[in-house]
Amino acid sequence: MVEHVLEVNDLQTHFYSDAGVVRAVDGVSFSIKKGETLGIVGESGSGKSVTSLSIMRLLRDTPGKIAGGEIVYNGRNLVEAKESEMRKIRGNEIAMIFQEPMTSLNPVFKIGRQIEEAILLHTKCTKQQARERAIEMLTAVGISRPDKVVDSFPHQLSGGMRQRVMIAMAMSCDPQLLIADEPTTALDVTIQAQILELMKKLTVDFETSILLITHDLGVVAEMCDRVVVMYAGRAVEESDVYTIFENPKHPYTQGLLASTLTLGEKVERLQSIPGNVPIPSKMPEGCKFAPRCPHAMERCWAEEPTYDAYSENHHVRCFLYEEEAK
Amino acid sequence: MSEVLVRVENIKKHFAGTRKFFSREREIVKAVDGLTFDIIQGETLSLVGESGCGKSTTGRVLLKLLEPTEGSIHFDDQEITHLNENELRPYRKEMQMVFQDPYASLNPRMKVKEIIEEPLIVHGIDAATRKKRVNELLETVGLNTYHGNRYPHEFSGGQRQRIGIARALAVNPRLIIADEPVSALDVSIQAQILNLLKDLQEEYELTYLFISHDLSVVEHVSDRVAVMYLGKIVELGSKTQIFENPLHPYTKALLSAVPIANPRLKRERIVLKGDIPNPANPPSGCAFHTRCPFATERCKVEEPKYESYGDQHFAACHFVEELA
Amino acid sequence: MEMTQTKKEQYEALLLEEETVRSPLSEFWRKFKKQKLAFVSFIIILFIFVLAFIGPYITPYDITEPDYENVLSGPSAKHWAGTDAYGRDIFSRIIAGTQISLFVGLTSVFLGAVGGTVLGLAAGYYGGWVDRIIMRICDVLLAFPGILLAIGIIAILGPGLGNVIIAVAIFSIPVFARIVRSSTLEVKSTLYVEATRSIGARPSRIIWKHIFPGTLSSIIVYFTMRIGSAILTAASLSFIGLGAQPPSPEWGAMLSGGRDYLSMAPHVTLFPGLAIFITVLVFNLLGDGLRDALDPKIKE
Repeated sequence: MVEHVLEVNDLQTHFYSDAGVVRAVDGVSFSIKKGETLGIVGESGSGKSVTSLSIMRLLRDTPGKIAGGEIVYNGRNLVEAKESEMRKIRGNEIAMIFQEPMTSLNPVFKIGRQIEEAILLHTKCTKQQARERAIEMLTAVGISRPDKVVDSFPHQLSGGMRQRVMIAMAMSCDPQLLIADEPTTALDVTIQAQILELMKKLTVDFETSILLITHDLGVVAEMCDRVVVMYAGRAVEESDVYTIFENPKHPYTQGLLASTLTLGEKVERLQSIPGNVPIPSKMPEGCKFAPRCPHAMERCWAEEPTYDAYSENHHVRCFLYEEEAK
Repeated sequence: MSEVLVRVENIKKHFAGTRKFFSREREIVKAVDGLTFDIIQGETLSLVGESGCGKSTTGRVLLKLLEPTEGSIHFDDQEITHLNENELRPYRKEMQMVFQDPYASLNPRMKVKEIIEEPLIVHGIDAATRKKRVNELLETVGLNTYHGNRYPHEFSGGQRQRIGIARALAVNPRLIIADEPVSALDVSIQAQILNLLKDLQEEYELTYLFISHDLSVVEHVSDRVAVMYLGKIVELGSKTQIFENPLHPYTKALLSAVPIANPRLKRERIVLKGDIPNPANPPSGCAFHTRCPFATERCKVEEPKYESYGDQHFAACHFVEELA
Repeated sequence: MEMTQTKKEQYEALLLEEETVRSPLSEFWRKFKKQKLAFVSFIIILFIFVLAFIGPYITPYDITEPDYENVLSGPSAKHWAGTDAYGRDIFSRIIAGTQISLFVGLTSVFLGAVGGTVLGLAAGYYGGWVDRIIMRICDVLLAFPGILLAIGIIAILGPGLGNVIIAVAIFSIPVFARIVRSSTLEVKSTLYVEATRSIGARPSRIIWKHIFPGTLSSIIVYFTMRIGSAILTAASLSFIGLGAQPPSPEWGAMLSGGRDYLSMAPHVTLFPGLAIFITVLVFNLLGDGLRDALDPKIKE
């Protein structure tokens, strides 16, 4: 029996407004093993970021609510956890880093103080110990002069440095799970390469599980052990990274891979997925991908496929594979 | 023989930065610092580089949205460097721009048809022709004529970029400067827009200056590529030369940093140390020496010459031959 | 087969379905209607406008004819707001005076807004010395307390309602110039203005087609808010005898006329005061509501 750090079952997160209900996340399931990196790929509006906010239960300031499903972390269902319990888990057992490191750091406090605060909040130690730990963490994320950086303000650091600081802060309490929401999207390629190397090293050194949310298939190929593909709020395919790239089943995954440009691969004409992601007020009735799908059948318009196991480690939400799944 | 459409000689764009405290001196940011290149009729030349390398500034200087500090720009053998806005107007018809952010580049208070019509009004085309042309353009870029009556906020990112392209095409330009036209778009939409740009190039014999940080996109669209670092071109060559036989260590590092969508591929990656230096205070000698894995003492003091290494392949590095 | 065709067709029809075009105006209206207080204020202002037009024709009593038998009588069924020192019906005078206060408020702010907008656009768009000169003058004007500046201007031009309008207009100019300049700077730096420059548009087109509409929402908000304070200033000037002269039913002048009887007949000042208070309040509430509905920075 493999131990799962996190298990998400049929998560539903809906946003309520005057205009109606938007089902931002509508049926997402996956699990993460210890030390594993799981990628969630999807385009804008796929619900991938809302999924991560739901896990952290950070929807309080939004009109969003978890409307169903389970988020099981180490045997505990976080959907039912109290806010006070969540505060103990957040930043301590599950840490998160965001796309824009500037907005997640407080501009008026020194870097050191912000990391120390996180440490003091979750561990019993003295201020002096917290400071030592902060410097130790900054060293661990490859910051060359940590004793100087602890005393600088966020605006004095470059984007890449700030993201390292965010990672140091996230890792300072030895979290079991790190949720990284587009951690390198705002960075330049050469800096992205540094941050990705760093995250790989951390999974090995600290045995941290990572939930990596990204739109970049290159980053996924490089970082992840398993991949969940999301479309219009649903998980449409999940498997190990090799299967996803070499033997994708869902027409959306196939389309996404075909339209991705890869360095060194010469294509005369790019394949693209026709049309646009459906907007919430005009969701198709059946399979949400049917309007853009080259294989759409009569059924696809009328009913929505279920998320079935195609093989032991391969889930697909598509009627094409229904027979094989059984 | 291929005909040169744009010739840029030694252009520089320096910005006065903030004044230092208690000092009369201003910091000078050399955003673009001596670029020389040609754009050949019908080709796609890409400017590629990371943030702060001056690629977007170069595009704006070419269009004279920014005044160059030094150097000259020739369009179709006419020098346009010092023309004023009135003298420049006929050239504005020939060169148009597609912007990165399809949200911010369209006036939210105007209907789509008014946005596309604007260049036609500016260049004095009569109302009946304008109306016909707007409908034509909407169809050319893959939108419907009824979309003309809507406002930009009713469209998705990809559709907005189509509107931006229609506006650029309106006056039949010869050169289109595309500043990161797909970097704000989703992958599946990116492919649609890149295909559209390619089709338009064939149909209207357009010349593109394509500005991007994304090497995979650049490889797909370009005929020739110029790699920029801190306001200078460090390497320029044909697509094949740049992607298969890069000469400059920066180009090599850049190529190896791109994540590739193939999980089996295990590469020896050149991970550059450190950050991109502040363009207001670039390193001495070769600006890349602070991050270059092969830098020597010489690189710290002596700026490498930008030289030809045969067959229109240029690079600025002391050790091109040694590193080959 | 029949069935599926319809499902697919249904969806395609749904996509093609012409949504009502959401123009900036209809968006504004949708948001504005949600601002309950501002909406009510808007209705009251409409009513005040109607009163301003028809007021002089519907007054129950003559507003200038003295009635010495009914001097300073309190509110009653006959005289809802009582009578003043000459026995004139205060309610009638307030209704008739609406016209004056509203006219003074609107014209003075309008003149100030036009002047300030032109100066603000010029300062923001051209920058450099144009900007420096305009803004320094505005700084000087803004350094005076509004009412003092107005008194100074009246001192030069002489008392009278026409001069009050000019005075209030002049000290509204720097306020508008400032806000128009700052939103001009904001709009000028947008990508769509750069895009318009890149197609070769002349500055006049850029200013009037792109920048001015972009600043319009803050102008409208300020315009509304300034009307309240302009009415108040005009009333104050009349109160100290520099504006409308008796027997004009201007509200400030009415206050002034009642101040000697404040202890024995408070209603003479109370009701005109109330009229000023309500009018200023509804304009300010409307201004607040407009800001919330127009300002794109405050999203729902």
